[in-house]
Amino acid sequence: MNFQYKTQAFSYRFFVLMLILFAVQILFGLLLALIQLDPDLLKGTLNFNVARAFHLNLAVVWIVTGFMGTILFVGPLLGKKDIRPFWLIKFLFYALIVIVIWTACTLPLAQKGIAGWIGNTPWLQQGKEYLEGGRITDVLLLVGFTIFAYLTLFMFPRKVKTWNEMHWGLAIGVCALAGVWVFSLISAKNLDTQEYFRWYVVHYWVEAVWEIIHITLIGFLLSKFFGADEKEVGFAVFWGVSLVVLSGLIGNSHHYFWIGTPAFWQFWGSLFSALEPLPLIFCLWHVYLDEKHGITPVENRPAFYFIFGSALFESMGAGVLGFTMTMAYANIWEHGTWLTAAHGHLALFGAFGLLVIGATYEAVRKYKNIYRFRGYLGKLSFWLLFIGLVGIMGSFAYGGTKEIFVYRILGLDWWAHQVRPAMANARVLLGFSALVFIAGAIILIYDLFTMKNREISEEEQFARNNKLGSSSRISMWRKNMMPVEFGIWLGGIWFFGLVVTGGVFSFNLHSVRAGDPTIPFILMGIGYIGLILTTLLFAVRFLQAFEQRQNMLQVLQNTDNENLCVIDLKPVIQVRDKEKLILEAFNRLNYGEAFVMVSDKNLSEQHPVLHKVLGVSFAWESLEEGPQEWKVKIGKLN
Amino acid sequence: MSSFIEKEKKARRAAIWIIGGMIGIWIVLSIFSFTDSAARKRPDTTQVTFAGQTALRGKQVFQAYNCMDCHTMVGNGAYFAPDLTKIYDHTGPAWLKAYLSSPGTYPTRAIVNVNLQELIQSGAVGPTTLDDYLAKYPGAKSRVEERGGVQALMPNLGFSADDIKALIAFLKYSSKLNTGGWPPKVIASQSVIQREAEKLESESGLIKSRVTGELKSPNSSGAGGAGSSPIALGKEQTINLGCAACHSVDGSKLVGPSFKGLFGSQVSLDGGRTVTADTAYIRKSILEPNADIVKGFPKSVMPAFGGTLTDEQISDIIQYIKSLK
Repeated sequence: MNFQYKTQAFSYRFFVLMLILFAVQILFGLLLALIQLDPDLLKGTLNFNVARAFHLNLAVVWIVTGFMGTILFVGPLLGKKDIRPFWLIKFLFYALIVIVIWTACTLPLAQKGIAGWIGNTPWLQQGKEYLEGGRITDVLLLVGFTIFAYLTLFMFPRKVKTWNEMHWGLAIGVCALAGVWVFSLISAKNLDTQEYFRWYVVHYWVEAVWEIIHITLIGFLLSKFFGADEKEVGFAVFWGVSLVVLSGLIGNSHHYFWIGTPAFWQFWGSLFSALEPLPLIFCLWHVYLDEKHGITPVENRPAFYFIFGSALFESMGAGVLGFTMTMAYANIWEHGTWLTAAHGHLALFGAFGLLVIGATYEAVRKYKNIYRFRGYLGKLSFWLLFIGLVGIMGSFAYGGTKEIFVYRILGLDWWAHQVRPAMANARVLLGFSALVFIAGAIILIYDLFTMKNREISEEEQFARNNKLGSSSRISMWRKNMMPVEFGIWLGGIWFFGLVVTGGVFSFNLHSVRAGDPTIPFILMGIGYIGLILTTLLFAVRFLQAFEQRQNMLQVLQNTDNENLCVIDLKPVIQVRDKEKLILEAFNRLNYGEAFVMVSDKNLSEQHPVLHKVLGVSFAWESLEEGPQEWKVKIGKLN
Repeated sequence: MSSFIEKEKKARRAAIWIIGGMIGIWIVLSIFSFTDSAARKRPDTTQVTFAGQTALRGKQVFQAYNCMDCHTMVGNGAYFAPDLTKIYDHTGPAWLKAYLSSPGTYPTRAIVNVNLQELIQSGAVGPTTLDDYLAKYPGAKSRVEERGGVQALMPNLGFSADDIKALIAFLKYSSKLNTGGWPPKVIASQSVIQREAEKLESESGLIKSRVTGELKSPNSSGAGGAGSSPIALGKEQTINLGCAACHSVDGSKLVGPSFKGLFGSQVSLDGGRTVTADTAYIRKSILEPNADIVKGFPKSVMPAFGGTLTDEQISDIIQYIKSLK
């Protein structure tokens, strides 16, 4: 083990539990996809609703377990202190297992119609989507969350005044995790009240509390990875969290359009839901900025892949897809169809699942005392999960589009012979995507548990770095991504998102309502396919540039600083001439080569200049810092 | 640099104030969410009842069976089965009662009628004829005409008679919810809908498998030459009445006991008695199904067929059951 704090070692068992729950959850997902194809499958033995209750609850539980693991992993670094007493962590861990087993035993009671009602309180299970567990599960979970909040706060400094934004982010996150859960204890007599408070838990968890934790953890993990400036990360965390609360608080009311609550929610919900993507774009932008900070190569590239994927899917799946459906005029068509599931899979697994998997990669590496390892399996699993996931989303989007036409526009309701057949192809596609996803998950779990087999020794790494070598040309996919290009990609994703939005809105057109689906089918077809392809290509582009940058950083690490060409800036007086000299030297470099700059003045002021002149595609390593001489090594990356 | 920090501090304070303001708006709106106004009155599960069961109990049954993880209710749920919010307005209580008694099969016209008569007799539904009922609830009419006796995808959950009434009360309640115009009204013309529906059904690949044999209207019985023997007439009766939705002819267990090998067998009843399934027993079971409940089967689910069948028709059915060895 290679941990600074003992608390961190405890995170490992949470990650193992998380992977087990994840595996079971996706097997239930596969089962659901199969029942979609053959509705008689396991009928009477394990009905669809029970399997779905497992699928949803496990999704929530494994991600929360992952959050716990991640916070135990990074918390001591943030608070510079261990948790006491340790037995409370162990207690939390076993309590979690007991809750899972208990809930797994009670959920199948739905097949017999047993909820354990005493008065109006369902003690065993309660048939509320996402919160299917009964009151006993709810109370146990509340205790668990409270313990967890206590443990997290215990690690932080006593003096609240010394907290930075990340302390605050996590503190608010873990307290709200327990606080919001209190609303799951409400059993209302009326359906509108019940649904109202159900969304307090479901929405405020995923669209507020989890996002706050997510943004804080991404910020913290990236500053660990790239040595990003804590102030800058703090800035991003504060404004990210503020935007989440600002938009998400009233944005919640997009769930209150049609559940029997008043119509004024349609205005408020539409307005603030439209703002909900802002923090998510903001977060992705900061991931983009932070990626260019480090000058030592990232030792755990798969972890970075997953963290990047998390920010991307949060922006695309939660942000863009959420935007396409939460305004009232779109929502009236989308509500209660497969389009919701298209958004849900990306927003839940894409945003939160990928993040905790990223943290798992780092924790496992530290736990098994591995410095470097070959990441090809991790990356393969990332791409399979990525493609499987967008495939699942695409299948739901395709089926949902057909469903809106058949079910809402035509009002056909013979499920077996009209609605289901209309969505038949989407079901097949869903099954295939699920298989790709599961292949990715199998490789992921295998890679995590056998990472030690792929460890790379110091000498081997040296040899590998030499093999990478330097080159005079690189493909345009591997070139540094400038802010403008990032903007174009994001703009592309949003463009197709708006096309989809237009498609959903177009169901309001009279011609469409009269029975001609051409306009929405074309718009949504182009929109969804464009969205998927743009997202995929953007991820390839971003990660290729990342690979190039990291490879070149490794090559530069190998170079002997003594033999580098030295540019002496001491005799040069004019700033313009200095810049020219540096630029010329830089342009002569091959990718993966470097020169050394020497001056009698502090060179750190040259850094922003270089930024301006060269963009951000260079490595900057300070070799000597005054008082007589300043020396900086500058390398060309991509 | 310090001016930047000052600016940032100010901006952050402003952000926190704005968030505070949002929380204020949020609280005010939330309070108005649950106050009745002249324009809208919220239905109450404790007030809405059906056949002596409250919608509140229906809501508990609805949750106990986790209906929401297949169906949707006010659009929330699993999208695996139809939305139920307005189903009561669409199909009415008699069709729902008939369907929920044996969800594996869509009820026939005759079985809806039997349920309707029972509901009228118990006072749960005001006096009406079947045709008036079907005219009032077009969803029930189309279901009976197009799907009567056809297999449904829903599993048989074995609801008790009280569960069924409570569920109907809950669905009556949910149909009263003001859902703000959702789901949107269908304005496409009948011809377009018909055309698309036929296309989908031919594409479906699923055969509209009637549970047993061909469906005939109950009034046309005895017209055909082949159907003139008592056994054939009895078989026709069981099809028209939808008996097969609950009673299999191959020995498998559905909602009720199978007809196969029933006649002459020893049947153990609730309460420990054992009787021989003879003509008198079967006759009594048709006319007063709740007098003797077979062990392991739910009570009060089967409607009483007294008054809907002639003596001759009953004896035909018994002859048919007798033939299923």
